[in-house]
Amino acid sequence: MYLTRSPILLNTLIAEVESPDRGGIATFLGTVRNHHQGREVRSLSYSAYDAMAESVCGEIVAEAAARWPVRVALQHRLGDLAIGDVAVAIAVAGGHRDEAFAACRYVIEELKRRVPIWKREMFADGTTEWVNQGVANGEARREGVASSEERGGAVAR
Amino acid sequence: MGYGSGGAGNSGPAVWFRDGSPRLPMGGVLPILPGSMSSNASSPAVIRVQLFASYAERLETSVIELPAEGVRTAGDVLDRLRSLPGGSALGPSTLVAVNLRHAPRETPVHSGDEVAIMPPLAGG
Repeated sequence: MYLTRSPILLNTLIAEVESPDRGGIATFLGTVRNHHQGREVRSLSYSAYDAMAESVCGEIVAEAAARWPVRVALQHRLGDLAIGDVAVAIAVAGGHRDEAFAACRYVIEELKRRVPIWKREMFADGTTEWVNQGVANGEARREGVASSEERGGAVAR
Repeated sequence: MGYGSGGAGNSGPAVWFRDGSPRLPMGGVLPILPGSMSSNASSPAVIRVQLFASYAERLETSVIELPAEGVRTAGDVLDRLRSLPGGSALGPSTLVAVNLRHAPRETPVHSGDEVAIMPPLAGG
């Protein structure tokens, strides 16, 4: 299961991929940030097309493992998240750092491009807005882009 | 749970709305109600279409059953939905999936396929 409604624990993902012959472990965390296009964000809610999201996550993980000699763990959280919560976590273990970094980057980029997950932001002014869908509840109406804060050992924008 | 005749009020095909709820449980998975409409052998073939996120809100349902007649491709499904109330929300960047895979507009669609109409993605 790649989707979860419970808090994500990175150590759990690392434990899934580590082994004595894999000396390089790259991780990525995407967390909820407190602003979007100059507006203060209070919380986020993620929803998904669960069956397809699980299927596509499985494809992406398999693609990474076929392209590089690595083992990959991936989780994406759904439901209501607070500022700072981990929305997505990836752990990749390989024999060396090059393949671990490369595969980790591949997984997050493909996830954002292909996995059917949507995000609604709740703003400090009480309005809510679907990110990237041009639809707002309330008077605010803007086009947005995916905006989770990103930090981690593997990928930096 | 009753079914309303949710026709677009125009000459388009009849469409039945399953779920009159305009609001999704926050962050929840859209409820897909167990179907009975297509179980009647005398019913015409239908294509069951799932809607997600803002699209489910704008069309005020998470599942639509389209009569399959004349619907050959993913693009045909999209065209039918665009003619419905709220269908103007389905802009040029709308995504279509057939049987859990992203589907170009020309992808063939048959009765029994799992078809989804999706807004631009925002995971991660």
